[in-house]
Amino acid sequence: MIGERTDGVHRTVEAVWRLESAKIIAVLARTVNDVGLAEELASDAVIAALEQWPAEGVPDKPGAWLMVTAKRRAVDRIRRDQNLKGKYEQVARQLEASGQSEDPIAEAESELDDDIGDELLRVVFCACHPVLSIEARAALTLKAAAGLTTGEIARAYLTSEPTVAQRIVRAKRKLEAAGVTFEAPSPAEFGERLEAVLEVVYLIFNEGYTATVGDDLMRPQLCEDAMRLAQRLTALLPDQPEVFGLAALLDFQASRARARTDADGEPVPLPEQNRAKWDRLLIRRGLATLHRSSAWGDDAGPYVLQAAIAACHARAAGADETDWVRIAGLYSRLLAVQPSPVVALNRAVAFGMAFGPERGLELVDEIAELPALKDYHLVPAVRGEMLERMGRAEEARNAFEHAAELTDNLREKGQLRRRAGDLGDAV
Amino acid sequence: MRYLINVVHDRPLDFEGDPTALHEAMGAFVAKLAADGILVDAAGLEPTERGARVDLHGGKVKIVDGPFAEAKEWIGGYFIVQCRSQEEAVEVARQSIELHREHAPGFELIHEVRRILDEE
Repeated sequence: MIGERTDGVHRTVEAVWRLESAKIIAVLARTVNDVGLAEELASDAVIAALEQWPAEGVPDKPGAWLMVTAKRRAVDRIRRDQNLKGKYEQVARQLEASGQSEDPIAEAESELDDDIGDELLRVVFCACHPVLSIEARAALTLKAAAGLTTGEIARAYLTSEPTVAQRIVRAKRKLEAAGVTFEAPSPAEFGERLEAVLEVVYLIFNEGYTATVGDDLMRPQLCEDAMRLAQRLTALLPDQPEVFGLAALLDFQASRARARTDADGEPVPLPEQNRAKWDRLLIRRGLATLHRSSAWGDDAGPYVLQAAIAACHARAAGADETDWVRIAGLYSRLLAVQPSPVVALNRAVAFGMAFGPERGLELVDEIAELPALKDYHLVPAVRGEMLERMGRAEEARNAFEHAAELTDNLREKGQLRRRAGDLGDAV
Repeated sequence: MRYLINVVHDRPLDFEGDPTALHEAMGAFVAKLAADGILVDAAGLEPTERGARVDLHGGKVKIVDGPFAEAKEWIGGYFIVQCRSQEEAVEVARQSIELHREHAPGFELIHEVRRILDEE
């Protein structure tokens, strides 16, 4: 639909859409009690804007204009479409009445300014509903809650616009079939559903974050979209510490974006990163956000704990000033709430840094035989690191060589071989 | 992409009406930007009378305390926003300007929108 042409008004329509669409969709969804239909009605208003703004100029209150237009188009559509007519006649009459009020623009403006937090949340919960595939959840969330056009989503996911459009249509049908049109999760399922929402936001972020190569600017944009969603969720769910944990974690990770690869695109491990390249503004917002996740009791969840670990790194002026004792403690808590082999390995590294390589090696050896880690190259790599620090050069060299054999990543293979080679000279 | 929106003044801060109405409206606006996930940072600045300048001109370093008589423009505050496009940042600035027009009739000011360089 939009996104390919780049004239000024076009981009202004996109900009207004990005700022206002989530709220417009939320208000419309409340009226028609259906997120999918609301999203279509809002899209109709964008088409109207693309037709009218170039000729008539951008209206003074562009968001309210879109809202008023969406309502008018909704009435037309309901009256025209036999399927909708029976179900929504009452809604059409209601919309028509509000369109004929004295000052529809002012009315729309106050609707958008009203507290529509509950409606926005329902939109997000529907878009992230577990009946949908993870790809569909991400696409629908970006479309309905983050103001991306279908074209923008397609470019971000390196796929075609029809593919995304179809994915969204299917997702809406699936929601309709499951009877999920505009529901809020029940208190009993709230925790699980919130977890699903946070997972979608984190996946969107990682989709952008892990794609480091290429000059495609849409990928880092995806990180920013996820950060924006996370920030918005903190405003909508101010009593959910994990939401603040996720928002802070994303800020900390994004703050290192410029430092995590070198000029040749090789990954730079965190302790060796040039901290001058870390983004202080994002670190500051991350620390403030984490601070607001007030639940610092024993029940901190995985996002809060990961953010707290990232905060330890962010606070340290240099790698050797890192509070590894604190990080080791946080990893122990993280392992308790999110038992995973990779967390266990990271915990071993942290213990090695905090309490000496002997302790680190002990913990690595405890988990080295776990099925999930058996062929994981970072296990011997970490062992090598600990052994090297303990002065056991021969064993360290063997460990690095073993690690090099296990990885298919040529760069990492090269790095590990070099480390083994360096030790070989010393023996 | 991040944009710095500088609040620039080029004439005395005179306007009709109650300054608290403007302050409240701008406070709500900044809160809205934060709730929408757009805001990275925002702050107001003390008057230039309490500021200072360190100049380098003709190879000479000079320190001057405010106010700066010869200055034609000065910065009163800033927003830093995360946006997908310059148009979006401009729209944010426009909304802020609209609030000034509404709540402080006669107030004249400039919002300067500048993209923050992102060296990758």
